[in-house]
Amino acid sequence: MDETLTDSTYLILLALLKPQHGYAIMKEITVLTEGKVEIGPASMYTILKKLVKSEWIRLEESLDRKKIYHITPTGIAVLKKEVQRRKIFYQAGAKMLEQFD
Amino acid sequence: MGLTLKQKYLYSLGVSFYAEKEMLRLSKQARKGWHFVKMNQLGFLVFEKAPIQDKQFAIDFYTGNQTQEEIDEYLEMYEASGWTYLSNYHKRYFYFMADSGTPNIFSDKASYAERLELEQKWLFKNSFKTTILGVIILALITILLSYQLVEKNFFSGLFIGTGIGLFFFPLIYFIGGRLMRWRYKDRSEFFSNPEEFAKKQRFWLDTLFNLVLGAILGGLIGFIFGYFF
Repeated sequence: MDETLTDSTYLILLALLKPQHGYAIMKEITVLTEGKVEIGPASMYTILKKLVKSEWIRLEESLDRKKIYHITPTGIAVLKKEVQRRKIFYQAGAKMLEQFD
Repeated sequence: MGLTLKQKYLYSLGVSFYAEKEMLRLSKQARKGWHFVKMNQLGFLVFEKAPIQDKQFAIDFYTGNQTQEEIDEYLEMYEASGWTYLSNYHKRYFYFMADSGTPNIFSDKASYAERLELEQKWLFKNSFKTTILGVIILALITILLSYQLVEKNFFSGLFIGTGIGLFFFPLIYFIGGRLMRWRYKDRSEFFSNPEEFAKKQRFWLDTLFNLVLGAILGGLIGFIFGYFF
């Protein structure tokens, strides 16, 4: 998998820091982004499949036999790296725009 | 008064290469008062008379397991996004409908490109089923010819031709599929705007091109392998 995460993958991994099922992930992302980002169902399903395959998230069975997803230690490591990368972009932008405040 | 179900049928353009164009056709029919029901076994789109509706449609290739739980989970995500599930074709292609203005089922380019890739791989793998059929036909005709149960004539020739054609179908499909993907290489750019992409799809021109390609490849293969029979 490519090292740079797409916005969708980044948000899904963030939402999966706690175990959740597909539908709940979508709602969580809407909350996380204050309603600015909505991931389409087909994109959501495709990304979840890919993340399971690369073992960044895993499937767990909940009490009601619904499939729930949860981030793995590998996934957390990837996410940490990605936050660092995004931080550089953010800090550069914030610093350079300071003079215009 | 008896219950009269008015139905109509339209041929399908193909769910994998012309999904975008096909969805526009479904919308157009809905605006004329024909509600899309399903794609039948023969590949015809079935419509029923219904009130005029302004709807948009989506078709998705399902990549998951064929278990009911997984399919339910998949459909739940669509329902949550405002897409009503309509029907499916062999539990691989799923049809959905939503009010006009609902965001598309794909929200980023990467996942759409990934899903197109998975579909092509699956189609290619599946095309080998015809190879098996081709082997059976060729084996049968070889046995019949060697025991002189049938003569070499136009009909046995036709069977041999069909067998060879089926045997090499994956190769022809691979070449044809590659050329189609090359012709429409910016397809995934239109992840959120399939209507715009549909305008670029030229069904009849592509069909003509594929027929010519098929004839050339088929002729070439037939010429080379016909020698062995």
